[in-house]
Amino acid sequence: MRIAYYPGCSLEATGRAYDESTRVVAAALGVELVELEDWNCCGSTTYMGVNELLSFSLSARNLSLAEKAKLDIVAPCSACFTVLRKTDHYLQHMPQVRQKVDQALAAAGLTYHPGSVKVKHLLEVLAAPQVMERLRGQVKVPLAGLRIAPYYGCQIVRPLVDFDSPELPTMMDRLLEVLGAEVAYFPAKTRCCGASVMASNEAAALRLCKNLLLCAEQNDAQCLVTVCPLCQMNVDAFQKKINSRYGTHFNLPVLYFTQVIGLALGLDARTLGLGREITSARDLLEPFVKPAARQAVGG
Amino acid sequence: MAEVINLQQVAASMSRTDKEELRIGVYVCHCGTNIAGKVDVAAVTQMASKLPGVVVAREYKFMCSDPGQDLIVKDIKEHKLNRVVVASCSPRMHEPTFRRATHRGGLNPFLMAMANIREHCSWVTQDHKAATEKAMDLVRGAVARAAWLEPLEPRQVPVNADTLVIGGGIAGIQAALEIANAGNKVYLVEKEPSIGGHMAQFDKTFPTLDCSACILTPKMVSVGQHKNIKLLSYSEVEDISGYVGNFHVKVRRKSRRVDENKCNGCGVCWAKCPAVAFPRKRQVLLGGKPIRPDNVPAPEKITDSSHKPDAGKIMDRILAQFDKLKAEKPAGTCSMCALCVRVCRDVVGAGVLGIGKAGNDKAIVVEKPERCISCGACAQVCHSGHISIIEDAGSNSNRPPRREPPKVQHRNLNLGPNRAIAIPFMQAVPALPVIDRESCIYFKTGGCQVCKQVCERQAIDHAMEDQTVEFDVGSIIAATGFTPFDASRIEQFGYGRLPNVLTALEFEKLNNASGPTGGKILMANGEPPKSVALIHCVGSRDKNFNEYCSRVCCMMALKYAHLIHEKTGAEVYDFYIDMRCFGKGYEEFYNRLLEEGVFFVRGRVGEISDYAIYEEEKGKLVVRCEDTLIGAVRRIPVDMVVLMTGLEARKDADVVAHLVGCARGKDGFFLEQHPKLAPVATATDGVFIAGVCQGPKDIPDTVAQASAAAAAAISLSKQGKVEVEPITARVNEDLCSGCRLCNTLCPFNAISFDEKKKVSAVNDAMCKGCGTCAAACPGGAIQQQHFKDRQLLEEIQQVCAP
Repeated sequence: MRIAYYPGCSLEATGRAYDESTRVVAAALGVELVELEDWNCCGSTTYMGVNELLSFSLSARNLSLAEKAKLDIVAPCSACFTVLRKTDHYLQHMPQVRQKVDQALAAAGLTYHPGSVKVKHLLEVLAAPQVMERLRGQVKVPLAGLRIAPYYGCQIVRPLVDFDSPELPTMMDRLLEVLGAEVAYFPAKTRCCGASVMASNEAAALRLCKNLLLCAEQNDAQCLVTVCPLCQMNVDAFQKKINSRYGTHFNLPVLYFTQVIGLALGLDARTLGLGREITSARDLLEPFVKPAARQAVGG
Repeated sequence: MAEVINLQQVAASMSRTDKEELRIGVYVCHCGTNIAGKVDVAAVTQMASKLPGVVVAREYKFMCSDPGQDLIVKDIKEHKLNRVVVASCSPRMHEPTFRRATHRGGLNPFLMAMANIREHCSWVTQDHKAATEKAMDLVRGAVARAAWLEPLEPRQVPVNADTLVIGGGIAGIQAALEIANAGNKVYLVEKEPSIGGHMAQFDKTFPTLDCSACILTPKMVSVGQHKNIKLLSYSEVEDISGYVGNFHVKVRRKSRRVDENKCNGCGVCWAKCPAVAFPRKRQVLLGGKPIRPDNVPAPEKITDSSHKPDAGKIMDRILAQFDKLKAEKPAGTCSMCALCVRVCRDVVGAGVLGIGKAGNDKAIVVEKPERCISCGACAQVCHSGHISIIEDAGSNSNRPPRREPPKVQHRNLNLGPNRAIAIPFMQAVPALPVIDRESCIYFKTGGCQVCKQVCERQAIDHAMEDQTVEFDVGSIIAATGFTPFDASRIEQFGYGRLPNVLTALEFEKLNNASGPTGGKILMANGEPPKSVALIHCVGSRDKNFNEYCSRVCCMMALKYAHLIHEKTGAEVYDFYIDMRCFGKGYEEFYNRLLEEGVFFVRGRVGEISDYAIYEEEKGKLVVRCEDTLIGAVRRIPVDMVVLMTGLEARKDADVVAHLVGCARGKDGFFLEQHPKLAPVATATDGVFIAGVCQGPKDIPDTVAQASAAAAAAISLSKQGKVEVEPITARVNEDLCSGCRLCNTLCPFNAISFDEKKKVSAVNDAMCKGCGTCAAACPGGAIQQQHFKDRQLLEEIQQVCAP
């Protein structure tokens, strides 16, 4: 499988572990990621809330580049995924939007035919049947005894509701089961983490993250696994603040699903970006990390 | 038109002589402002008066009124008219009216043609000019057609006085009783083993809080005993052919495997039956662990059964010992009585369990898990509860982990004995048990047959086959009821995932005194709830599912609020959008509930979840809702949730509709002839509908509609004969080439092939005049009366004329 890779801005900064683990795991599973040449920021959902037309134009540029390369796009970040898909959807169904966006694209010498590029989330690419088959055969370190709360976040399943179930998806649950891990019951699996509201209204976002951690703790999860860099950062980096604010004692590592896949495949923990997380996963993951790389983790 | 049609050839098949002088009267109706508001009626009338053959053209405000019709009658006499054209509403409205007027004037009613300048013209445009032009085109066309119409005589067919009622719920029961009391014979066909329908599952009815069974069973018994009602229970209609007054019905009587002539309903068979019937998908646990693990498939059949021939006597002895142990020993620990081992080996014939060692002690162990058929016999004879049965809902990461098997099953509640042979509920009519083939042990192992052996009347025969009966009726009433909305389609309410979330009907059965808790409201853990949430409009008034309102759920919710208070004293939270209390005594009932202290929250529920954020939510179901009256989002922890699921058309409604020849509306319910004025008649003469199958309604309305359908059926039978419109098709044998295309096309199977003459022939009695064959015949050999090619072509030519 060959597909255009759209990392998005987060993956080059705070979400670097996601980018690293994605590249390594995709290669191991035979998914060829071709980084989209000259991609630009998608504006994320914040920009769409501020200026829809400019946001559509930004995304349309990425879509037109993918169309030029004759490839579909895979986005690991849920916000990029939602924004790109929404743009494609609006361009298909609203001629007045398409008209204006076409003008914007034309100014850059580009065109885009709505519907010609499929936008996929990294989760659905790695959970595709053929890839799962390969994964099943390549698991070297089954994550036995690791109890994971599968955290999807909200944007992967809403507002465009054709990705798995909008309330209680199971795509990642099944993938984690193939890795041999124990999937904890996690009814908050699609609750919002606050995303960029953490910057503008920290109190509100902290409360949302606190509720997520509470649910994970109540169901005896040892860690959360996410599919979005913003979810990962919010739930991971602010645990100390949440603890001091609410009097809780959370210490739950939050990992990317590609990181746990990589561990199960027996890949070098360093190449998976392990150690970049704020709430350390070192102790939890020690039994699963290959001995050679054990010292490097936690750096 | 692309090709020239040889009108000479077509005309040759017509019988009108060219010598007859045409004297056509044209009447253009204003229909108040319905037509006159858009169409320049005066101009149309003017134009019509100049058409060839037209001797009088008039306009009038309401042609369908008495003075309007009198215009036609008078003109026919005075002006010696021999054709009438009425330009007004759709023929489906007033064709019979104007035909009758024409007839009163002394002219054959089929010499009248209509132009629809309302539904096809004034009602579909705002453009006055276009409407007037079209009206003129249509009138020209109608006049041209009228010129070629021929006099026709309606046929009269005799009407069979018997009626078929499909469905034995309260609607079917009421209709059957009304007809039977009038002296006519009724065949009442019900697919379940007993009549009573959904009403038999209710506990109390609103607003009087009458016990449902108390008011229903007298009617059920009347049906069972009535000399004019032939009750065909546990039966399904397979085929209906024919037409109004003359329907031929085939019914398949499913095999109960119990001879209804011998059985006296004594109940010994279900008392001794070892197998359970519900839950359908179940797991049997020995000491909390499944006897047959998930990865071991269930055996289809066991060929080397170890059962003994006197299984009946063995079961008697086992049950006697079980009763003794239950009274003496405490529940909780296995007493090694080994009744489970014996029943499985000697009665069931599977021999799954044995006595072995667990550590240092003797214990009951699973020896042959692959032979376990999950019949539940072992659990039935276990006095301590060491062996239990739970619903096998499958494992799923979206289900909360099961802490312990539930003490009360909320799903698949059974109101009768929970056995493979059982009477559906104690007041069943007929009061006969039925063997559930899916759960019966005999069909899997060849063993057991305890019921057969203990039956003193030898009424049980496992080999009994289905039977077919055939009979003729004159009218049909479809009263097939509804299916409740499947609440698992709304994932966020947690139905099917979370414990203690019930649908309205499940809650109803829980309250029923014949249910497994004896009418007590209990949670899955066996305790009464301290708080209950009632959620309105689940699957109704919802663009994602059904847009319509299911009419009865608001009242049901109020009824439940009252029952919950009365039986448990729990707090009741009722989440509503509106309170629809439309009937007699309904608003007063609502006021009563307001005074009883129910917490009414006006707002939609967003989700029901079990993840607690605050202390008081631990271990409860959290209802997250919008409270529009205070303008806030709330979290309300409750013990139990009841979803007021809406009423939907049955899943097999399309099969029944096709059988009786009834159309369905866009919501799937059967389509009545007119939404306001003909609620029980359908487009097919002789077929009537009653009850919720026509649309959601409460019991009073259902009974009223059933009586209405019965009256319609009785009226038909009293007339003794019925006129069939003579618009049937005829095959011209000289032109027929014998290609038989029409044979397969006829939707009513009304065309047969004469092998000797090698031509097709239309059965005049079965033909409904749909026109399919006439349109399809490649040689033009089929002409439909009143819609002959010449008539239609002349009309088309004039309509399209510049």
